[in-house]
Amino acid sequence: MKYGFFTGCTSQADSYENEISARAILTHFGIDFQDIEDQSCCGTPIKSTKHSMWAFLAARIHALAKKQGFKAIATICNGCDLSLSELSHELAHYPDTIALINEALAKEGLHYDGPLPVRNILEILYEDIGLEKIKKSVKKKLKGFVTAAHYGCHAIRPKTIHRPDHHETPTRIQEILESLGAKSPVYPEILDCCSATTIGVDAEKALTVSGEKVNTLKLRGYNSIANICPFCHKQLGASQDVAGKVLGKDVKLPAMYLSQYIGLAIGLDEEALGLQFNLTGWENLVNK
Amino acid sequence: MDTIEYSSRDKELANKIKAISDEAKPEDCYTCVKCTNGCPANKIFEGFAPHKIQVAAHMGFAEELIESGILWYCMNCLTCQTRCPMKTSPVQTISSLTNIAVDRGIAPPKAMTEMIRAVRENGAIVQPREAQTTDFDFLTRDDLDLPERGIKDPEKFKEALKIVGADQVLAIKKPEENK
Repeated sequence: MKYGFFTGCTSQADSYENEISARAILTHFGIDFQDIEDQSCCGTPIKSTKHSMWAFLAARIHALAKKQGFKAIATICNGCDLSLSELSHELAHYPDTIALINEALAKEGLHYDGPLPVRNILEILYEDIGLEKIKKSVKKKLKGFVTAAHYGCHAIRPKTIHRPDHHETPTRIQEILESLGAKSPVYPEILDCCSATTIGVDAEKALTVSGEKVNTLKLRGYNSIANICPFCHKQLGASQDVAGKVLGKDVKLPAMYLSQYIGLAIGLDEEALGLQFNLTGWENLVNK
Repeated sequence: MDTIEYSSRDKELANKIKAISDEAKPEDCYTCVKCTNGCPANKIFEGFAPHKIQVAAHMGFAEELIESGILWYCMNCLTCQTRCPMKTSPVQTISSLTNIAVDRGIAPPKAMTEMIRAVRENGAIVQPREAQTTDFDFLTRDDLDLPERGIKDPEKFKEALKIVGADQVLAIKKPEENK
Protein backbone atom coordinates (compact mmCIF):
# COMPACT_ATOMS: atom_id res chain seq x y z
CA MET A 1 0.00 0.00 0.00
CA LYS A 2 1.43 3.35 -0.99
CA TYR A 3 0.97 5.92 1.75
CA GLY A 4 0.64 9.65 1.21
CA PHE A 5 2.62 11.08 4.10
CA PHE A 6 0.82 13.91 5.90
CA THR A 7 2.97 15.74 8.46
CA GLY A 8 0.62 18.47 9.70
CA CYS A 9 1.21 22.02 10.95
CA THR A 10 3.29 21.40 14.07
CA SER A 11 6.05 19.82 12.03
CA GLN A 12 6.61 23.21 10.40
CA ALA A 13 7.33 24.96 13.65
CA ASP A 14 8.73 23.18 16.63
CA SER A 15 8.08 19.46 16.28
CA TYR A 16 10.70 18.56 13.71
CA GLU A 17 11.71 15.52 15.76
CA ASN A 18 8.29 13.96 15.26
CA GLU A 19 8.60 14.06 11.49
CA ILE A 20 12.31 13.15 11.45
CA SER A 21 11.90 10.09 13.67
CA ALA A 22 8.75 8.93 11.86
CA ARG A 23 10.54 9.12 8.50
CA ALA A 24 13.51 7.21 9.94
CA ILE A 25 11.39 4.38 11.36
CA LEU A 26 9.04 4.03 8.38
CA THR A 27 12.04 3.94 6.03
CA HIS A 28 13.93 1.45 8.20
CA PHE A 29 11.00 -0.98 8.10
CA GLY A 30 10.41 -0.56 4.39
CA ILE A 31 7.04 1.18 4.53
CA ASP A 32 6.14 2.61 1.11
CA PHE A 33 5.41 6.30 1.63
CA GLN A 34 5.87 9.67 -0.03
CA ASP A 35 4.88 13.21 0.97
CA ILE A 36 1.51 14.53 -0.15
CA GLU A 37 2.42 17.58 -2.24
CA ASP A 38 0.89 20.99 -1.49
CA GLN A 39 -0.40 19.84 1.91
CA SER A 40 -1.99 22.29 4.35
CA CYS A 41 -3.63 22.21 7.79
CA CYS A 42 -5.96 19.24 8.49
CA GLY A 43 -8.63 21.61 9.80
CA THR A 44 -8.91 20.33 13.36
CA PRO A 45 -7.91 23.54 15.18
CA ILE A 46 -10.54 25.46 13.18
CA LYS A 47 -13.45 23.06 13.79
CA SER A 48 -14.96 24.78 16.81
CA THR A 49 -14.68 28.20 15.14
CA LYS A 50 -15.67 27.58 11.51
CA HIS A 51 -17.08 24.15 10.77
CA SER A 52 -17.18 24.63 7.00
CA MET A 53 -13.53 25.69 6.93
CA TRP A 54 -12.59 22.56 8.92
CA ALA A 55 -14.48 20.37 6.46
CA PHE A 56 -12.82 22.09 3.50
CA LEU A 57 -9.31 21.69 4.91
CA ALA A 58 -9.82 18.01 5.76
CA ALA A 59 -11.39 17.31 2.37
CA ARG A 60 -8.53 19.13 0.64
CA ILE A 61 -6.02 16.60 1.99
CA HIS A 62 -8.11 13.65 0.81
CA ALA A 63 -8.60 15.27 -2.60
CA LEU A 64 -4.87 16.00 -2.97
CA ALA A 65 -3.83 12.50 -1.88
CA LYS A 66 -6.30 10.85 -4.26
CA LYS A 67 -5.25 13.05 -7.15
CA GLN A 68 -1.60 12.20 -6.47
CA GLY A 69 -2.36 8.50 -6.68
CA PHE A 70 -2.00 7.42 -3.06
CA LYS A 71 -3.97 4.49 -1.67
CA ALA A 72 -4.03 5.68 1.95
CA ILE A 73 -2.90 8.57 4.16
CA ALA A 74 -0.31 8.15 6.91
CA THR A 75 -0.52 10.62 9.80
CA ILE A 76 1.87 11.50 12.64
CA CYS A 77 -0.49 13.67 14.72
CA ASN A 78 -3.62 12.55 16.57
CA GLY A 79 -5.44 15.76 15.68
CA CYS A 80 -4.76 15.34 11.96
CA ASP A 81 -5.62 11.68 12.19
CA LEU A 82 -9.03 12.28 13.75
CA SER A 83 -9.88 15.16 11.44
CA LEU A 84 -9.18 13.14 8.30
CA SER A 85 -10.83 10.02 9.76
CA GLU A 86 -14.07 11.64 10.94
CA LEU A 87 -14.75 13.77 7.86
CA SER A 88 -16.87 11.33 5.85
CA HIS A 89 -18.77 10.18 8.97
CA GLU A 90 -19.60 13.74 9.99
CA LEU A 91 -20.63 14.86 6.53
CA ALA A 92 -22.64 11.72 5.74
CA HIS A 93 -25.97 13.55 6.02
CA TYR A 94 -24.80 16.99 4.89
CA PRO A 95 -24.84 17.15 1.09
CA ASP A 96 -25.00 20.97 1.23
CA THR A 97 -21.71 21.14 3.13
CA ILE A 98 -20.08 18.76 0.65
CA ALA A 99 -21.36 20.92 -2.22
CA LEU A 100 -19.91 24.03 -0.53
CA ILE A 101 -16.48 22.48 0.05
CA ASN A 102 -16.41 21.23 -3.53
CA GLU A 103 -17.20 24.73 -4.76
CA ALA A 104 -14.15 25.89 -2.76
CA LEU A 105 -11.94 22.96 -3.81
CA ALA A 106 -12.71 23.67 -7.47
CA LYS A 107 -10.72 26.92 -7.15
CA GLU A 108 -7.58 24.80 -6.95
CA GLY A 109 -8.81 22.20 -9.45
CA LEU A 110 -9.62 19.70 -6.71
CA HIS A 111 -12.67 17.59 -5.94
CA TYR A 112 -13.76 15.59 -2.88
CA ASP A 113 -15.64 12.39 -3.69
CA GLY A 114 -15.01 10.42 -0.51
CA PRO A 115 -12.09 9.65 1.75
CA LEU A 116 -8.99 7.49 1.51
CA PRO A 117 -8.18 5.16 4.41
CA VAL A 118 -6.35 7.10 7.14
CA ARG A 119 -3.66 5.38 9.21
CA ASN A 120 -2.10 6.80 12.35
CA ILE A 121 1.58 5.99 12.88
CA LEU A 122 0.54 3.82 15.83
CA GLU A 123 -1.47 1.60 13.50
CA ILE A 124 1.35 1.43 10.98
CA LEU A 125 3.80 0.44 13.71
CA TYR A 126 1.48 -2.08 15.34
CA GLU A 127 -0.30 -3.57 12.32
CA ASP A 128 1.85 -3.01 9.22
CA ILE A 129 5.19 -3.64 10.93
CA GLY A 130 4.06 -5.56 13.99
CA LEU A 131 5.53 -6.44 17.39
CA GLU A 132 7.46 -9.48 16.13
CA LYS A 133 9.35 -7.57 13.48
CA ILE A 134 10.10 -4.71 15.87
CA LYS A 135 11.29 -7.13 18.55
CA LYS A 136 13.59 -8.92 16.10
CA SER A 137 15.18 -5.61 15.07
CA VAL A 138 16.14 -4.58 18.61
CA LYS A 139 19.91 -4.21 19.00
CA LYS A 140 20.04 -2.42 22.33
CA LYS A 141 17.22 -3.17 24.78
CA LEU A 142 15.77 -0.16 26.59
CA LYS A 143 16.92 -1.46 29.97
CA GLY A 144 16.00 0.71 32.93
CA PHE A 145 13.27 2.59 31.01
CA VAL A 146 10.05 2.86 32.97
CA THR A 147 8.01 4.69 30.39
CA ALA A 148 4.50 6.11 30.75
CA ALA A 149 2.46 5.70 27.58
CA HIS A 150 0.40 8.75 26.73
CA TYR A 151 -2.01 7.89 23.90
CA GLY A 152 -3.71 11.26 23.52
CA CYS A 153 -7.48 11.67 23.32
CA HIS A 154 -7.86 11.72 19.56
CA ALA A 155 -6.03 8.43 19.02
CA ILE A 156 -8.58 6.53 21.10
CA ARG A 157 -11.83 8.50 20.96
CA PRO A 158 -14.60 8.86 19.96
CA LYS A 159 -15.79 5.27 19.93
CA THR A 160 -18.35 6.09 17.23
CA ILE A 161 -15.68 5.77 14.51
CA HIS A 162 -12.62 3.55 14.03
CA ARG A 163 -9.63 4.72 16.09
CA PRO A 164 -6.06 3.37 16.36
CA ASP A 165 -6.62 1.88 19.83
CA HIS A 166 -9.36 1.09 22.38
CA HIS A 167 -11.25 4.03 23.88
CA GLU A 168 -10.99 2.95 27.52
CA THR A 169 -8.21 0.34 27.61
CA PRO A 170 -5.58 1.15 25.00
CA THR A 171 -2.45 -1.06 25.13
CA ARG A 172 -0.56 -0.71 21.85
CA ILE A 173 2.05 1.91 22.87
CA GLN A 174 2.81 -0.13 25.99
CA GLU A 175 3.10 -3.36 23.99
CA ILE A 176 5.52 -1.72 21.58
CA LEU A 177 7.61 -0.22 24.41
CA GLU A 178 7.77 -3.60 26.14
CA SER A 179 8.86 -5.28 22.91
CA LEU A 180 11.83 -2.88 23.05
CA GLY A 181 12.77 -4.01 26.55
CA ALA A 182 11.26 -1.06 28.42
CA LYS A 183 8.71 -1.36 31.21
CA SER A 184 5.42 0.41 30.58
CA PRO A 185 2.87 -0.37 33.25
CA VAL A 186 -0.65 1.05 33.05
CA TYR A 187 -1.56 3.93 35.40
CA PRO A 188 -4.85 5.49 36.56
CA GLU A 189 -4.35 8.72 34.60
CA ILE A 190 -3.53 6.99 31.31
CA LEU A 191 -6.65 8.37 29.57
CA ASP A 192 -6.22 11.91 30.89
CA CYS A 193 -6.14 14.75 28.39
CA CYS A 194 -2.95 16.84 28.00
CA SER A 195 -5.17 19.94 27.59
CA ALA A 196 -3.17 21.32 24.65
CA THR A 197 -6.44 22.39 23.04
CA THR A 198 -7.07 25.04 25.71
CA ILE A 199 -3.56 26.47 25.72
CA GLY A 200 -4.77 29.38 23.58
CA VAL A 201 -7.81 30.00 25.80
CA ASP A 202 -6.29 29.83 29.29
CA ALA A 203 -2.60 28.92 29.23
CA GLU A 204 -2.17 28.83 33.00
CA LYS A 205 -4.98 26.32 33.52
CA ALA A 206 -3.86 24.21 30.55
CA LEU A 207 -0.32 24.04 31.94
CA THR A 208 -1.67 23.17 35.37
CA VAL A 209 -3.43 20.13 33.89
CA SER A 210 -0.38 18.93 31.94
CA GLY A 211 2.09 19.77 34.71
CA GLU A 212 0.05 17.82 37.25
CA LYS A 213 -0.02 14.81 34.94
CA VAL A 214 3.79 14.84 34.58
CA ASN A 215 4.17 15.37 38.32
CA THR A 216 1.91 12.38 39.03
CA LEU A 217 3.93 10.21 36.63
CA LYS A 218 7.11 11.15 38.47
CA LEU A 219 5.52 10.28 41.82
CA ARG A 220 4.42 6.94 40.38
CA GLY A 221 8.03 6.10 39.55
CA TYR A 222 8.15 6.60 35.79
CA ASN A 223 11.42 7.94 34.37
CA SER A 224 10.10 8.84 30.90
CA ILE A 225 7.00 9.55 28.79
CA ALA A 226 6.15 8.27 25.30
CA ASN A 227 3.93 10.32 23.00
CA ILE A 228 2.58 9.83 19.50
CA CYS A 229 0.99 13.27 19.07
CA PRO A 230 2.93 16.55 18.70
CA PHE A 231 0.32 18.56 20.61
CA CYS A 232 0.49 16.17 23.58
CA HIS A 233 4.27 16.04 23.27
CA LYS A 234 4.60 19.79 23.42
CA GLN A 235 2.26 20.00 26.37
CA LEU A 236 3.80 17.12 28.35
CA GLY A 237 7.38 17.57 27.11
CA ALA A 238 8.61 20.88 25.72
CA SER A 239 6.37 22.89 28.08
CA GLN A 240 7.66 21.18 31.25
CA ASP A 241 9.77 24.19 32.27
CA VAL A 242 6.92 26.67 32.07
CA ALA A 243 4.43 24.19 33.59
CA GLY A 244 6.87 23.72 36.47
CA LYS A 245 6.89 27.47 37.03
CA VAL A 246 3.09 27.63 37.01
CA LEU A 247 2.87 24.82 39.57
CA GLY A 248 5.94 25.72 41.59
CA LYS A 249 7.15 22.12 41.24
CA ASP A 250 9.90 20.34 39.36
CA VAL A 251 8.07 18.54 36.58
CA LYS A 252 11.09 17.65 34.46
CA LEU A 253 10.77 14.15 32.95
CA PRO A 254 12.31 12.91 29.68
CA ALA A 255 9.65 12.92 26.95
CA MET A 256 10.15 11.31 23.54
CA TYR A 257 8.06 10.17 20.61
CA LEU A 258 7.34 6.46 20.33
CA SER A 259 9.32 6.40 17.06
CA GLN A 260 12.35 7.73 18.94
CA TYR A 261 12.17 4.92 21.51
CA ILE A 262 12.00 2.41 18.67
CA GLY A 263 14.90 4.11 16.88
CA LEU A 264 17.11 4.02 19.97
CA ALA A 265 16.40 0.33 20.51
CA ILE A 266 17.05 -0.69 16.92
CA GLY A 267 20.31 1.25 16.95
CA LEU A 268 19.57 4.27 14.78
CA ASP A 269 21.70 7.38 15.18
CA GLU A 270 20.41 9.87 17.75
CA GLU A 271 20.52 12.75 15.28
CA ALA A 272 18.72 10.67 12.65
CA LEU A 273 15.90 10.44 15.22
CA GLY A 274 15.82 14.18 15.81
CA LEU A 275 16.71 13.68 19.48
CA GLN A 276 18.69 16.93 19.46
CA PHE A 277 15.30 18.68 19.53
CA ASN A 278 14.13 16.95 22.72
CA LEU A 279 15.07 19.28 25.54
CA THR A 280 13.77 17.24 28.48
CA GLY A 281 16.89 15.35 29.54
CA TRP A 282 16.67 12.08 27.60
CA GLU A 283 20.49 11.94 27.51
CA ASN A 284 20.72 10.89 31.16
CA LEU A 285 18.34 8.03 30.55
CA VAL A 286 20.00 6.76 27.37
CA ASN A 287 23.55 6.98 28.67
CA LYS A 288 22.80 5.30 31.99
CA MET B 1 -32.33 34.11 42.62
CA ASP B 2 -32.67 34.78 38.93
CA THR B 3 -35.88 33.87 37.22
CA ILE B 4 -35.97 32.37 33.76
CA GLU B 5 -37.01 34.77 31.06
CA TYR B 6 -39.00 32.51 28.75
CA SER B 7 -39.18 35.11 26.04
CA SER B 8 -35.42 34.67 25.63
CA ARG B 9 -35.89 31.05 24.64
CA ASP B 10 -34.53 30.27 21.17
CA LYS B 11 -36.99 27.71 19.82
CA GLU B 12 -34.88 27.27 16.71
CA LEU B 13 -31.68 26.43 18.57
CA ALA B 14 -32.04 22.64 18.25
CA ASN B 15 -32.37 23.00 14.48
CA LYS B 16 -29.41 25.36 14.30
CA ILE B 17 -27.28 22.76 16.09
CA LYS B 18 -28.58 20.01 13.86
CA ALA B 19 -27.57 22.05 10.84
CA ILE B 20 -23.97 21.57 11.98
CA SER B 21 -24.01 18.20 13.77
CA ASP B 22 -26.56 15.41 13.82
CA GLU B 23 -24.60 13.66 16.56
CA ALA B 24 -25.01 16.41 19.16
CA LYS B 25 -28.60 15.35 20.01
CA PRO B 26 -29.13 17.43 23.15
CA GLU B 27 -32.80 16.37 23.06
CA ASP B 28 -31.81 12.78 23.95
CA CYS B 29 -29.85 13.69 27.09
CA TYR B 30 -31.36 12.44 30.35
CA THR B 31 -28.69 14.09 32.54
CA CYS B 32 -27.04 10.96 33.92
CA VAL B 33 -23.94 13.21 34.31
CA LYS B 34 -21.56 10.55 33.01
CA CYS B 35 -20.14 13.16 30.61
CA THR B 36 -19.46 15.72 33.31
CA ASN B 37 -17.93 13.09 35.60
CA GLY B 38 -15.33 12.30 32.96
CA CYS B 39 -14.82 15.88 31.79
CA PRO B 40 -11.31 17.31 32.36
CA ALA B 41 -12.51 20.88 31.76
CA ASN B 42 -15.12 20.43 34.51
CA LYS B 43 -12.32 19.70 36.99
CA ILE B 44 -10.53 22.95 36.33
CA PHE B 45 -13.02 25.49 34.93
CA GLU B 46 -15.73 26.37 37.39
CA GLY B 47 -19.21 26.12 35.94
CA PHE B 48 -18.23 24.07 32.90
CA ALA B 49 -20.54 21.04 32.86
CA PRO B 50 -21.36 19.21 29.61
CA HIS B 51 -24.68 17.78 30.86
CA LYS B 52 -25.89 21.26 31.75
CA ILE B 53 -24.88 22.49 28.32
CA GLN B 54 -26.89 19.69 26.72
CA VAL B 55 -29.98 20.61 28.76
CA ALA B 56 -29.60 24.34 28.07
CA ALA B 57 -29.18 23.66 24.36
CA HIS B 58 -32.24 21.40 24.29
CA MET B 59 -34.37 23.99 26.06
CA GLY B 60 -33.11 26.80 23.85
CA PHE B 61 -31.44 28.75 26.66
CA ALA B 62 -27.94 28.88 25.28
CA GLU B 63 -27.68 32.66 25.11
CA GLU B 64 -25.96 32.95 28.45
CA LEU B 65 -23.54 30.15 27.58
CA ILE B 66 -22.68 31.81 24.28
CA GLU B 67 -22.25 35.24 25.87
CA SER B 68 -20.12 33.98 28.76
CA GLY B 69 -17.41 32.49 26.55
CA ILE B 70 -17.28 29.43 28.82
CA LEU B 71 -17.85 27.07 25.86
CA TRP B 72 -14.29 27.68 24.65
CA TYR B 73 -12.97 25.88 27.72
CA CYS B 74 -13.92 22.52 26.20
CA MET B 75 -10.70 20.50 25.75
CA ASN B 76 -12.19 18.47 22.92
CA CYS B 77 -11.09 15.21 24.56
CA LEU B 78 -14.30 13.51 23.35
CA THR B 79 -14.77 11.59 26.61
CA CYS B 80 -18.35 12.88 26.90
CA GLN B 81 -19.33 11.58 23.47
CA THR B 82 -17.57 8.27 24.04
CA ARG B 83 -19.23 7.58 27.41
CA CYS B 84 -22.76 8.86 26.72
CA PRO B 85 -25.22 5.98 27.18
CA MET B 86 -27.72 7.80 24.95
CA LYS B 87 -25.22 8.27 22.11
CA THR B 88 -25.47 12.04 22.32
CA SER B 89 -22.42 14.24 21.93
CA PRO B 90 -22.01 17.17 24.31
CA VAL B 91 -18.74 18.07 22.58
CA GLN B 92 -20.57 18.42 19.26
CA THR B 93 -23.20 20.59 20.93
CA ILE B 94 -20.44 22.79 22.35
CA SER B 95 -18.63 23.02 19.03
CA SER B 96 -21.91 23.80 17.23
CA LEU B 97 -22.69 26.58 19.71
CA THR B 98 -19.27 28.20 19.31
CA ASN B 99 -19.79 28.05 15.55
CA ILE B 100 -23.23 29.65 15.93
CA ALA B 101 -21.65 32.39 18.06
CA VAL B 102 -18.95 33.09 15.47
CA ASP B 103 -21.56 33.10 12.68
CA ARG B 104 -23.38 35.80 14.62
CA GLY B 105 -20.24 37.91 14.76
CA ILE B 106 -19.14 37.18 18.34
CA ALA B 107 -15.34 37.10 18.41
CA PRO B 108 -13.71 33.77 19.31
CA PRO B 109 -10.61 33.74 21.57
CA LYS B 110 -7.73 35.51 19.87
CA ALA B 111 -5.74 32.28 19.40
CA MET B 112 -8.55 30.84 17.23
CA THR B 113 -8.63 33.86 14.91
CA GLU B 114 -4.85 33.88 14.67
CA MET B 115 -4.80 30.24 13.58
CA ILE B 116 -7.27 31.01 10.80
CA ARG B 117 -5.15 33.99 9.75
CA ALA B 118 -2.02 31.82 9.68
CA VAL B 119 -3.72 29.09 7.61
CA ARG B 120 -4.86 31.76 5.16
CA GLU B 121 -1.32 33.12 4.89
CA ASN B 122 0.71 29.92 4.56
CA GLY B 123 -1.58 26.91 4.91
CA ALA B 124 -0.62 26.03 8.48
CA ILE B 125 -1.65 27.27 11.94
CA VAL B 126 1.95 28.23 12.72
CA GLN B 127 4.63 29.96 10.69
CA PRO B 128 7.71 27.90 9.77
CA ARG B 129 10.40 28.73 12.29
CA GLU B 130 13.65 27.67 13.88
CA ALA B 131 13.70 25.04 16.60
CA GLN B 132 16.28 24.88 19.35
CA THR B 133 18.59 21.90 19.79
CA THR B 134 20.39 20.54 22.85
CA ASP B 135 23.54 22.21 21.49
CA PHE B 136 21.78 25.60 21.39
CA ASP B 137 21.68 25.61 17.61
CA PHE B 138 18.56 26.94 15.92
CA LEU B 139 17.53 24.95 12.85
CA THR B 140 14.84 25.25 10.18
CA ARG B 141 13.21 22.63 7.94
CA ASP B 142 15.65 23.68 5.27
CA ASP B 143 18.69 23.07 7.50
CA LEU B 144 17.33 19.59 8.16
CA ASP B 145 16.70 18.77 4.47
CA LEU B 146 13.00 18.28 5.17
CA PRO B 147 10.66 18.78 2.17
CA GLU B 148 9.44 22.30 1.56
CA ARG B 149 5.98 23.24 2.80
CA GLY B 150 3.54 25.97 1.78
CA ILE B 151 0.64 26.41 -0.61
CA LYS B 152 1.45 26.15 -4.33
CA ASP B 153 -1.15 28.66 -5.44
CA PRO B 154 -1.78 30.94 -2.44
CA GLU B 155 -4.24 33.21 -4.25
CA LYS B 156 -6.53 30.37 -5.32
CA PHE B 157 -6.27 28.89 -1.83
CA LYS B 158 -7.39 32.22 -0.34
CA GLU B 159 -10.35 32.36 -2.74
CA ALA B 160 -11.32 28.87 -1.60
CA LEU B 161 -11.04 29.82 2.07
CA LYS B 162 -13.30 32.82 1.49
CA ILE B 163 -16.04 30.50 0.21
CA VAL B 164 -15.90 28.40 3.39
CA GLY B 165 -16.04 31.40 5.71
CA ALA B 166 -12.48 32.27 6.71
CA ASP B 167 -12.86 35.93 5.80
CA GLN B 168 -16.07 36.23 7.81
CA VAL B 169 -14.21 35.19 10.98
CA LEU B 170 -11.28 37.49 10.26
CA ALA B 171 -13.66 40.44 9.74
CA ILE B 172 -15.15 40.14 13.24
CA LYS B 173 -14.25 43.15 15.34
CA LYS B 174 -12.80 42.25 18.70
CA PRO B 175 -14.51 43.67 21.76
CA GLU B 176 -12.53 46.14 23.86
CA GLU B 177 -12.01 43.73 26.73
CA ASN B 178 -9.49 40.97 26.22
CA LYS B 179 -11.61 37.84 25.95
